[in-house]
Amino acid sequence: MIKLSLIKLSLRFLLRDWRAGELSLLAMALLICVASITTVGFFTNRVERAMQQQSSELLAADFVIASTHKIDQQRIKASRLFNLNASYINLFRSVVLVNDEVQLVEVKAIDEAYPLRGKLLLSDKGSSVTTENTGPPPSGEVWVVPRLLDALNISLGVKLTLGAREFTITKIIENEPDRGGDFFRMAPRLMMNRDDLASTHLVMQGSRINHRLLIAGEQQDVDAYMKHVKQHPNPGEQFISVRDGRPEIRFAFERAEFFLNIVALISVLLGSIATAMAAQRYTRRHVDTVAILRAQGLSQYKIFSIFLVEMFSFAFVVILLGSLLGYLAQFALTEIMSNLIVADLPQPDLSPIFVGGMTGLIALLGFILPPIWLLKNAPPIRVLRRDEGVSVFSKSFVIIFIGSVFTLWVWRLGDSAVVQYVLAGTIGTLISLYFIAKVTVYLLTPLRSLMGVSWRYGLANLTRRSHLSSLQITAFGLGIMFILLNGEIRSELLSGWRNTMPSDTPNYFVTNVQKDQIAGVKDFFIEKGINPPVFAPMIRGRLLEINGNVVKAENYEHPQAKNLILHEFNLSWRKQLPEGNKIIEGRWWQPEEAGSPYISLDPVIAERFSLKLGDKLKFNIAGSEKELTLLNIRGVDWGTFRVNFFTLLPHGLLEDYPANWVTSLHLQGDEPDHLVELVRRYPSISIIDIDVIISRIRTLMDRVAAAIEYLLGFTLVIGVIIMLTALKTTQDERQQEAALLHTLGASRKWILKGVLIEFLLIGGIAGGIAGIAASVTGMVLAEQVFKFEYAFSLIPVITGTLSGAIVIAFIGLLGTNKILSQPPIDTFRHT
Amino acid sequence: MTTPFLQAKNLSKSLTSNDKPLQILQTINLTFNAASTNAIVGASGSGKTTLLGLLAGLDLPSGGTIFFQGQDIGALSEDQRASLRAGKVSFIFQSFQLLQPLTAYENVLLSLEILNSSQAKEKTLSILERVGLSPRLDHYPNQLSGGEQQRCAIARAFVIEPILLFADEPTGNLDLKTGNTVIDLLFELNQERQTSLIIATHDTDLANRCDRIVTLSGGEVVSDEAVIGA
Repeated sequence: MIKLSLIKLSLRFLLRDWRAGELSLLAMALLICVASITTVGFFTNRVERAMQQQSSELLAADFVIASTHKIDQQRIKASRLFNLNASYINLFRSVVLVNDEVQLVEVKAIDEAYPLRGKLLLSDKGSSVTTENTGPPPSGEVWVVPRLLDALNISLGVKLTLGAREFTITKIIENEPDRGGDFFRMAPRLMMNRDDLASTHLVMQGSRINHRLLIAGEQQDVDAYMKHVKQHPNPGEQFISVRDGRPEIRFAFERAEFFLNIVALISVLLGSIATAMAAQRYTRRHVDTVAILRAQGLSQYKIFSIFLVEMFSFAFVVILLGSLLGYLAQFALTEIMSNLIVADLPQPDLSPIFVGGMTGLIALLGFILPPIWLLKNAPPIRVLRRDEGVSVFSKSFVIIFIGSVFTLWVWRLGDSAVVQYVLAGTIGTLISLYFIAKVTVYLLTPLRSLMGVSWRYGLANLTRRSHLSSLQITAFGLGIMFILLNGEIRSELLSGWRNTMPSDTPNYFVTNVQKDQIAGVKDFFIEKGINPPVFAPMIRGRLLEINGNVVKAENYEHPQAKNLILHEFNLSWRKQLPEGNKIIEGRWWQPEEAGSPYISLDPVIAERFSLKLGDKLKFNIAGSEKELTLLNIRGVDWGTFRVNFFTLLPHGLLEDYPANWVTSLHLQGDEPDHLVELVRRYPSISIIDIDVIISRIRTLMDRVAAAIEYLLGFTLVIGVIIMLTALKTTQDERQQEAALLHTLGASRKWILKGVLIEFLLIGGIAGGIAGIAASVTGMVLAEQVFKFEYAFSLIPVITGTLSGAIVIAFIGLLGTNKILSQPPIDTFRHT
Repeated sequence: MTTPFLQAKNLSKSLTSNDKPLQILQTINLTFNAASTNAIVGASGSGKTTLLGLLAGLDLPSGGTIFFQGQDIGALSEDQRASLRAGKVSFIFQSFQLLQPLTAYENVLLSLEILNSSQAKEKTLSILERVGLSPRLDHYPNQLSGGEQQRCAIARAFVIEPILLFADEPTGNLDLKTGNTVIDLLFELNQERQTSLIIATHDTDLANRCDRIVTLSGGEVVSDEAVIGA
């Protein structure tokens, strides 16, 4: 038990050490570790609280029945019997025509009761006043989001054509409760009156329209209703309660949290190195103190207790400050990521401070306390014989260090294979960078004799302290490498991938074509001098059983599997193996096997459902059940933008079922202008401009990349801390050297020039190595992931070298200026 | 027969240097009385500092025994020796050994804080006034002159009212005049508090102020004489 008197002594030591600046570097390193984790922690806490608090709003109801077919009217009657409110809405994609422009939209047709939960907020453009609204637009009117007005460069009051009918845009949608974040908004929203739906002629047999019955009321009534419908399910119905939430939103959130935490933990990994360095420096500087205390009669136990209490008290304060810094820093992150997953994030609660606390505690136990444990062994005879010392480093620290880092990563990310690969990859990268840095510094040594005196001095500083120089190069190099990868390389990879596509790669999808429209659409293209595309049928089917076992979404982990079970498969049929597809396992069906109950699957889908050849899958297709045998697993080249399907059936099985037809084609020059006329002739057809979609995805990716870059800023700060630690460690040495050089006649300007060269080299080497590493990584990614050749680029190398050299030289000069300004006599006096 | 205050019996100390044994001290037999002043003199390398370290329990001998108030300190663990020193034994060093992050006041106060002593602040202020450092309480060691630092070290050593004080070349880093001032102070305080004093020095004037001079040469006691008229 530690006595109160010892605690008081510890706190006095803490205050004195702090006053003397002995703890500043350790504080900064630990602060950044805690801040980087809590920045992500506070942000994800806000998103999670939003999802919990808005769970009903995210459904706009307490319970939803969803189907791709019309929902039984009995469901609505039953809701009244249970004293519940009900709202029926339809959702589908279509295109609008405005001023000879075609724009894809996501249509929501609503009734008087919508929304049952949450707020539908509308405004007039130019007005900052929003009004809460229940119920649909008046007949003949539509409401749209600002993005649609911007995309078409129109304003309120303009008329648009949707299907066979013209509407006037009268309001702007400011908030739609069940929309989700920007990730889920591929096309802009358009709201219409459900009563106007029939007049658009968009609802036809085979049309891909989603039906939703929203239910809300007292909790016990909702529960009773839920129990009732689940006992009597209709085919094709999906039930979504507040507890289920929006799985796609949760999946997006969990992915975002995972990747943001990885980035934060990379900073923590570097921060751990900085903390360990600072802790080593702190303990080495206290060896004399401990020797004096032991000479004065303090036991090793008491000495360790004093430092233990001091460090815990110190860590407590730093954790609080780090958490505060994380709280402040998350505002910028929230701004960058705002509305990507959910909108209107509430303030966070205090639970992320626990995350910061655990991070600080692990850092304390893993990086700070081990050398303190050895410090207590400083021999008291040292007060008389200075050559008697104690080592405050042990090889076991490396194992403790790795163990602590591993504990942090596994705690925040889990112990999946991905985490292990990323951690191993990051540590491997660090070790490789350090090794390359050491070799580079070593190779520079012979150049000293070839240089002028300032360069010689700068190079000497670099090579003489090669371990410290290499550590600084490694820390900065890692941060710069990730920034280059996230920024320049990512952009080039995406552009490169797009540019390597053949010139005739399809750039438009035409969907929602009915069977009896195909001939007319083909003739239209021929009329316009465009090669008529090949159409593929698409029909929805719900997977009911696998090998006789009922399929349930909760039995599958992967969100894609869950989604396919809940939202149906897109089935198609083919006589021959489609172009760009390749049989991986099994065989393709023969012409004489037309009508046979077979199915062909994409390998990813087969893996998601753990399927093998010969397995039997039962589908409900337009009310009729079919059991199909898995005949082959078929690889698909999704990068061609041709129409492809996860599932294919033989010809002769589904032709009598109402299907939707789709095609893709390449249009160039002024050919896209003809699409306006096509939509006028066939209002139910939807046109998807692939470049617009890719551009939208790129915009979203840019925001995620911006968030990652923001967090990577922490790695650069850590690099600065490592540099400052190295400077402090060598401070006395530098002061001595400078004093001696002054005395020998060297000007301050000359000495500063040598120091400048040293830091220019550190920064330049760090940036250069980072640029090479980033470019090589880009090449590997291009070949392995994007499947195209990406030549090694010098641009990241030049960017990295120049920016690294300038920034690090600036910081280094700031850090050494004071040291070099001290008059020599003062230095010699205090030696 | 009274128990000797401090006694070294057949004391020896050897070190390994460049893989070769180096005999620092051999067959030292000395007895020290309470409230006595003793000088250990000898040329550089004669083993004065090593002998001081052994007598203070800061190091362990290679051979022989050391008794402090009848207790064999060689048989004690490091922490037990520390416990024996606490509150009874003090030190003054050639290089002052003040803690740089602490002010003069805090350096002296620390000795009492370690012992959880009552009225620590009052005792600290009193001793600092006694050594003439009242105007420099809030100054750090690098803001004090050599003489002031050594006076602070003397205050730190005496504030706990030790029964035994070891001084290793206390004037080694001081000019003649400052050194004399410091030595005067040391002996005044010693007289007031009746502390046993053991000083390692090559300063003959300082040695002659003690009751007894022990001369070392080549790690052996070559003479052990009382000072006439001390």
